[in-house]
Amino acid sequence: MEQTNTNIKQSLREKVLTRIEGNTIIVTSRWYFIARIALIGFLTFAALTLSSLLSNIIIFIIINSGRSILLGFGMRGIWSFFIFFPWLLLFVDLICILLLQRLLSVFKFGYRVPVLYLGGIIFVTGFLFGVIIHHETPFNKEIVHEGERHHLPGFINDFLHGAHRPPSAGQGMYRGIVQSIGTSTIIILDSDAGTSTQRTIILGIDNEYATTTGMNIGDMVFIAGDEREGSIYAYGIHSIDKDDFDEPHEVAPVQ
Amino acid sequence: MLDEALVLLLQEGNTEIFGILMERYEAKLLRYGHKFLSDNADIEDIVQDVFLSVYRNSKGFDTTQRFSPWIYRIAHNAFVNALRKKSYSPFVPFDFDTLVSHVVYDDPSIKERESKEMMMHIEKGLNLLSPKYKEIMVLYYIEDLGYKDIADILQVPVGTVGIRLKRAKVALQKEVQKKYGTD
Repeated sequence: MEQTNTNIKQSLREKVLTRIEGNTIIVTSRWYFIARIALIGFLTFAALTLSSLLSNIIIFIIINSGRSILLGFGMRGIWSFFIFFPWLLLFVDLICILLLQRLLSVFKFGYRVPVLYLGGIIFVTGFLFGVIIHHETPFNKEIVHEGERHHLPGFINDFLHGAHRPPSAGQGMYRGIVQSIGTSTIIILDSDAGTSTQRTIILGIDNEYATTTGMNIGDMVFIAGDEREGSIYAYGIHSIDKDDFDEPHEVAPVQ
Repeated sequence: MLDEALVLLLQEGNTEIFGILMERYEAKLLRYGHKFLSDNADIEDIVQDVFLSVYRNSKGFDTTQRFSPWIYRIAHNAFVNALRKKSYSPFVPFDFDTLVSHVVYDDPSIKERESKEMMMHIEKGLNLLSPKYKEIMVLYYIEDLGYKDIADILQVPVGTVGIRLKRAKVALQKEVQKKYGTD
């Protein structure tokens, strides 16, 4: 048996060495491996950049459309926030993170760290970069201004307009300028709908999230509520700073 | 001469060195292959392909790392692919053991103590285990590799190796008890 195994082993060794000595096996060049590492590095950078940009866009949408304000309107506001969260963008971001994880698993640190931990680190890193892009750079303002000047493709302009507006009327979020303040009602001028529309906002009794305290005529407000018989029954109202919203204004293209 | 030094010479163009490497790993890889497949001809073909792959990619090996996990990694991929083809199952289930960290200790004294008992169980019941558990038992008890080396071969966290080994031992003992009754 041992003799047979030895014969098998010699045969296997001979087969391999014969092929090597016959120059039929091409040794992959070192440059291939260097190029592979470089490509992985580039794709890693690209995926992390995309993840950061997506985080930035998510933050931009949440803040500029007023959705972040919903978190201050109690459980109902928190529920609405989750309903109107840009989940598709988050899903694409998670795909980026999975791709990044796959790329990094080529290296020891990539597979030695548990999947959830590495995914978490990548997600937090991308999110932090997204926060930095939004708060510390004029990137978003520049994009909006470029959109106003029609320097960007049409679908990006449409996206920017959509990102500024709360979810469309009928889905429970409105924004406008206060025209008059009553005991239990206020009138606002809503310009998000395209043309200025007057809306009557009815305030609930003993609702700490929907009061007129500190409100003045001319203030811009964000309202969450249900539309019934032409009026909006608010469950949350919050004053907003007009300067916080880079409302896109159409600028005639330069001839 | 260490394996890594031999590979360094191979990378510099000394192809005769490859015969020494083959001599060192041939028997190990054939034995390793027998834990995956039963057909000698298939195993021999795959081991041949493994050596050719090692030769072809020799310039991609980082000689500051250990050679043994690298060649076992190539062999692992080759045998797992062969198993997958035989089972006609292209789907690779996700390994939930790799999701979170597990605290494990690779204690050689424990290994030595339980080695005798485990070898008896392994002889009786290794083929009753699923491939995932079979492989880790082979790498740890038969190929005598440590947790870190096994982690590099399977490309999983070190904690996953420990937890998988623990489950494999329990599964093996259960299977042996089921088949052969209590000792």
